[in-house]
Amino acid sequence: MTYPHPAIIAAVTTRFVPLKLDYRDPHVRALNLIWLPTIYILDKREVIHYTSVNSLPPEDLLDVLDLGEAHLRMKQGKSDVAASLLTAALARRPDGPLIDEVLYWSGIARYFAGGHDHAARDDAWSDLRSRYPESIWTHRIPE
Amino acid sequence: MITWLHDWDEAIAHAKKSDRPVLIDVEKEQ
Repeated sequence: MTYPHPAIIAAVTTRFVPLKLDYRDPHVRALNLIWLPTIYILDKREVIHYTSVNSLPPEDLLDVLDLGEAHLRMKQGKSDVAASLLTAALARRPDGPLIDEVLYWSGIARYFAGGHDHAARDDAWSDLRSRYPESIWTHRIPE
Repeated sequence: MITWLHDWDEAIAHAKKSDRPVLIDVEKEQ
């Protein structure tokens, strides 16, 4: 996969507990695996927060790591951490293939981080709508 | 270099101690 990339090594070793499993490991049954390889981001209660199928270029995997951790942190009530992760992802690569998804969740993370901050959410979603009008993430924005 | 764990329970124990997410890579290992 893309793990030899220095930025991936830095992100994984400083922010995650890396676990490599063979698909025949008994714990994999609970992960509803379909395809190899697949990566999952879990919390300490063994709840899955993000899934990504097949290998990705390192730049995309960095976005996946940020999205996955952001989902987990939002559900922990740490939306400020999630918003920071997603803001950093947007700054790192403003035009990557996952940016529409990052923008969508950035709006939600900023909404919760700001105590139901409608303006922050709408700011991110306005950017999403104007830059990616045909994205499924834009279609998810209420009219 | 990433030092991967290969034991589920050990990874969860690390996550509980560190509050870090667990990144699981499921592959066909040799």
